[in-house]
Amino acid sequence: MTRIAGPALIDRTRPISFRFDGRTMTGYAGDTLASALIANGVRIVGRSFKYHRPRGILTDGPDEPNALVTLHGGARAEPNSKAPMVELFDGLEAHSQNCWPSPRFDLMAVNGLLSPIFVAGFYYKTFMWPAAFWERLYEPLIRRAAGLGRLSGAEDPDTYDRSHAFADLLVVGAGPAGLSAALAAARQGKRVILIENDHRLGGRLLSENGQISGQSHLNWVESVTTELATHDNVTILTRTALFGVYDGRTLGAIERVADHLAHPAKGQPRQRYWKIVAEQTIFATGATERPIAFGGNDRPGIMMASAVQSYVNRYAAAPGRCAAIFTQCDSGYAVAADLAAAGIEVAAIIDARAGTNQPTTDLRVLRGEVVRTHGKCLKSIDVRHHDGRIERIKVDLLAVAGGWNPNIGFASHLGSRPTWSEELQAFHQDTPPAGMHFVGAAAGLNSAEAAAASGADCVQQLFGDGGARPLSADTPAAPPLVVADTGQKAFVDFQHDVTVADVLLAEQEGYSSVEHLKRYTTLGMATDQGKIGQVLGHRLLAQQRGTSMAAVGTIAARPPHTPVAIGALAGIHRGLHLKPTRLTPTHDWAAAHGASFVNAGLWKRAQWYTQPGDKDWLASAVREAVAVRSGVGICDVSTLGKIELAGPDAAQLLDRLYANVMSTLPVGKVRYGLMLREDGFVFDDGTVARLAENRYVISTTTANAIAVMRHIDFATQVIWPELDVQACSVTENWAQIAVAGPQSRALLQKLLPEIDLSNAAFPFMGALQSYWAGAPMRLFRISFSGELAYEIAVQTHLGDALIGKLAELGHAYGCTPYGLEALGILRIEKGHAAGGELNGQVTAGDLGLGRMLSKKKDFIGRAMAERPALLDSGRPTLVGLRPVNPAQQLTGGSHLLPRGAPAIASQDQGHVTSVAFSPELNQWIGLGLLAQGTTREGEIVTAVSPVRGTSIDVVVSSPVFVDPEGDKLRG
Amino acid sequence: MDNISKSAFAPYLQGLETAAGHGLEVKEWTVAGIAAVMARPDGQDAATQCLADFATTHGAMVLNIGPAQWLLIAPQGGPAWHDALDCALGGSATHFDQSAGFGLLALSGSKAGTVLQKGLFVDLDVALAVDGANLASMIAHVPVIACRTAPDAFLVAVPRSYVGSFWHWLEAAATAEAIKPTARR
Repeated sequence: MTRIAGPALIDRTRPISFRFDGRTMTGYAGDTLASALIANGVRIVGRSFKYHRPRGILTDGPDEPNALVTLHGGARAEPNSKAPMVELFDGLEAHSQNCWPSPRFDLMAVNGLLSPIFVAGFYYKTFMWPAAFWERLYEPLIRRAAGLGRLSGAEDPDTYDRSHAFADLLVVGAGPAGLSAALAAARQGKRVILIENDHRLGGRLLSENGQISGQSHLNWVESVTTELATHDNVTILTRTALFGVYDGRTLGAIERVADHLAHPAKGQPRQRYWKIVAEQTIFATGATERPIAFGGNDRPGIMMASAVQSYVNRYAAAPGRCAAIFTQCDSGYAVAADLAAAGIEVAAIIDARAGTNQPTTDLRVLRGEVVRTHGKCLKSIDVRHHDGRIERIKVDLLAVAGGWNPNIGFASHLGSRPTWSEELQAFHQDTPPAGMHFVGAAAGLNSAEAAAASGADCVQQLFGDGGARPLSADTPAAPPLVVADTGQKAFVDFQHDVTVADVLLAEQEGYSSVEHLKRYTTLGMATDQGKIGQVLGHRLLAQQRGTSMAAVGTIAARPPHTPVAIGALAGIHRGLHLKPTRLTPTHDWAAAHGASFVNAGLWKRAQWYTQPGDKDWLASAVREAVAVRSGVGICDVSTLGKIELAGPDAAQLLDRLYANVMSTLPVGKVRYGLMLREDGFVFDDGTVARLAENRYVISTTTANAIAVMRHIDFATQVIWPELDVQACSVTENWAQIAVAGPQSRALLQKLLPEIDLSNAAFPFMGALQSYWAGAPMRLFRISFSGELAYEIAVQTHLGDALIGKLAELGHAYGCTPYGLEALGILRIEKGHAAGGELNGQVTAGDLGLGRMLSKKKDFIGRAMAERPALLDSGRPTLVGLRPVNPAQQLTGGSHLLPRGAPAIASQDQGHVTSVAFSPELNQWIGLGLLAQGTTREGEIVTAVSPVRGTSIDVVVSSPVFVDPEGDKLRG
Repeated sequence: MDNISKSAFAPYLQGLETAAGHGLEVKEWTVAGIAAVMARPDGQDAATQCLADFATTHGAMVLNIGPAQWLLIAPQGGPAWHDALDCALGGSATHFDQSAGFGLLALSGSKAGTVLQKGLFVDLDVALAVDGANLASMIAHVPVIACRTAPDAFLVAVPRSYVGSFWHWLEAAATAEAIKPTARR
């Protein structure tokens, strides 16, 4: 153990046992996995992405590029977890990634020997021949050799929650700037949400020694936190990471609800996805410490100075015994002082700056640069003094303080581009999008006192009487530093193994914009999204191009700012609940009678009813269809859209909506109707029933129920608002059952003995309103099957009772429930167009319904339907199709070609839109759209399905296979 | 047949404990009359007043569901109720029977607002700030009409075919807050 004595934010009375790569270790409550690994002397935690170089912990935060581990195991395995962000809990199990057999001895390190090949863009230059090898050999090999962790492939056993929040002010980050901003707004009575990625508030104040307003950092955090807790208008979300900023001042965040718990409570979600709407957002997101590019700067034992400070001060974990600090800013001196105070030997501070205003210290200060390092884990460094002399210093820890990158990426989510500030020597947001404000270190104010002041000032400016002071850098800024002539690999992007040489090569090869550089070298493309090394790469690019950082610019950050589990975004919408489910009024009855269900949009519809003796689904469907043709069948058609229209102008509106005339429809009658889109193609079909002088109910297809309602709303509210007509979807209010077959009248007469259903009293296309079971009932004599048929509608809650009663009364007639498959057989036999034919590309003429287009009135789509191309006689039209060999099965989607023609696109004359096995014809039949189809009855064409590998000859016929005169349905 | 329940939520409410004070209590309203009311051109003001009067005399609740559109919820229903509504509107608006079109679920308790806010991407403190305020929105892709009926009580109207999916969301949202819905007496 390398624990340091003295105060820290761990609870030494609560030891925690955990395992890393199978080794049992001990940490304390308050530790992260990273601090516990350091305290247990673990220096190599994984291997690098490309070269498999040994890597140790580099940072103490969410941008950690090296210490990516897989947590847990089995279905709960969580790859690419960043060790500094993993709170330690009892029983935690973590594994290193991208190495075999272990991070200390990794056979894939052989990749390092091939590094001359694996230069920038190597995959654009190598593995090019033979081309067929790419998918089968090269890509699988590369993917196996390089990469991150692996998903388990099993179903995620965790649950994820979602919530919404609204605020006057959202504060992102609870360091000095964020805390002071939240407190200032809270005192003004504003609704404040404060989110913090860490499990405790304080940010860098938890790691740095110092004072704010005369109080120690920790005491100041404590006092602010205590006061915030007294304000009911403040919501504090810890363990919560903002991941994106979106339009409408909407922000997305993920709260880690149970990731830190050994045993989450039953039902407790793992994470919660927050959608937050805030009038104003203050980004107190801090700054990320910048590395320095020097030889061997990725060796385990080399860490960011701020991280070293955190592990020593906050976690009492010593990352080394003898340290050096390589710095070019004052913060490096504070880290050196903290190390010395903790009893860690500080061999030297290597200050790269040439000036003389550096802080005073009793520690040894060298003016120069670290040029290279030695050891699998760090053992020594070579320092090049300003006079050129090289000095080797034995250390096992090197803290690197290369300056600070303000965390401003969120502004780019709304399109704002960062600009280079010479004053800050960093990219900053000088004109962030409306409602976004950067304070503290995110605005270049790195001292705690100044950061705290900036947070409060910002609130004063937003909600108070102004008076905020202008912000300016409070500590000397340090430019990004790349050490020249090192003789070793110097890394810019640790996670993707992008080196100084890679950047220079890319520039030489013409990739001289930052966006091209990113794509060519993968600089900034991994889970840290370049937050650590990207600016270094851009500095190199600027140097190489001989231009300024301002001219080079930087890339635009895009959401998500930090990786987000897909499960957190999905929430409850997975598996059966991927989408909402709509159940028909007879769902329970159908389920109890052997129905199998199929998705029809959001609806679950009975597809067929399996009965004893049915050998398969087709047998069920055929049995049901035969029952309808020979006796009577019942089918729930409640999913069809039902829209009521009322008002003195309702008839006029219907005339404009439908291609055929509706205003002449008498009360108590139904008429088939066809709607066109504005472009003249068929939109939807259905029936219109006139219930009273000024009241109609129309039916739509299931698929277009919502679209037709929207179409009518547009017509009444936008096109013809002057019409006195109101329209309302009543689909949910009515259960509707089709009763079809020669015995349908007899069955319904039993159900409704008081109503005369004789052909004379209630002929085909009749409609009436009455009562059933004391509630309103509607009866329509319409047929989709071609048989004598009715549809009866009752209030939705009575649907189950109605179908039950029909089945009971129909027992004597062999009444059979039928599902969508049988419905399909019946309508194909009858030649009725449905989904396969109403595909958005057909005209009324294509369907043989051209005569329905009224010449006496105007209607939506009329003008465009008269375009020559839509009237072309060569268009595909609806035909019936029968295999020449009755034993052959027709395949839906098959292309129709002239008989004997080669199966090539130029010979394509149409396609098969629907198929079914017809019990009436005792063979497979189909409907299709065939060029000039109506003139080709009797011709034999070939139906080819390249997908299923079938090719059969079929006879073209009328689409109406059964009862072409319509005697049955009028009987 | 006359005693068939209009309940839409019954399968989901069966088995719930009956206890108060657990944060989220639920109770289904099985009213007899629900109607969608839509003003005729230039009839909005008159319809608004007529509906308010009708609601007062018939103990009904009026929810705004769109421009010049309302949902009327009343304990009575049937032809006589519709005739009375027709008469009360005096030609200012048209009404459509929706008596069986919605499941109505009352949510109450100290956590009712918290749970509802998890589903509604609308600021309840603003949109439903006062008793009687209502809105039409979506919860977990399910269309809903929500109304605040008391400081800690809401009524949610859900299209009948969606009640199963709505209940699935409600249970999941409550569970995530460590709440078990209980049935209100």
